[in-house]
Amino acid sequence: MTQPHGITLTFDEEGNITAVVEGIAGPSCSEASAWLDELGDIEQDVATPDYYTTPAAQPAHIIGGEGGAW
Amino acid sequence: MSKYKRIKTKITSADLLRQALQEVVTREGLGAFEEGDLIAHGYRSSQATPVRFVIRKRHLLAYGDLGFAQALDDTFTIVVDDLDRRGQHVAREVKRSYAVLEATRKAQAQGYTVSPVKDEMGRTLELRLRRY
Repeated sequence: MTQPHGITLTFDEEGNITAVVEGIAGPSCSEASAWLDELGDIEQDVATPDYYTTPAAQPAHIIGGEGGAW
Repeated sequence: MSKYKRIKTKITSADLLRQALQEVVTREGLGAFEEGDLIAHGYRSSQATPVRFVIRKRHLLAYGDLGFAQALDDTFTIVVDDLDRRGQHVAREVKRSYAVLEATRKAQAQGYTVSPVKDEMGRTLELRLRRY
């Protein structure tokens, strides 16, 4: 499942679109924004440094924490 | 920001183009548009092109008609004289309205909540999409 994220679409005077994707990185970002390609001809598709950042690790769930051996 | 894309809008849906035309005709007070006809354009209106939609010059208050012709692959091209500033302006407004309608429809189909940011004329400048 795709993680929560946002996309801002800005429309210029000619009716063309700039799309900025935020809050999602790596292949998930490409997957989540693939539908934008159906809006017309892609003139630029640029991954920023944030694209390559590793998503923050989820906190581990401790199972049976209380009364454990340690 | 993790990615950005520049997209050149392509008009492919007759239904959405009809909606966009209606929106712009109302907003700009242009009266009406027509469907399926020939338009005369070029030097002394010497060229005739079949179009799917047309806004007549009497409504545009422009030098010539503004038409939207549909190609065999379903994409629409805009037929307007290069020197017709009024026609060019309305053509841009229609293209922009179409782009907003198409993006809104596709975003909602993808499960995004869509929040438009509009200017004082009611034109959408930006769409903020959020998926949870």
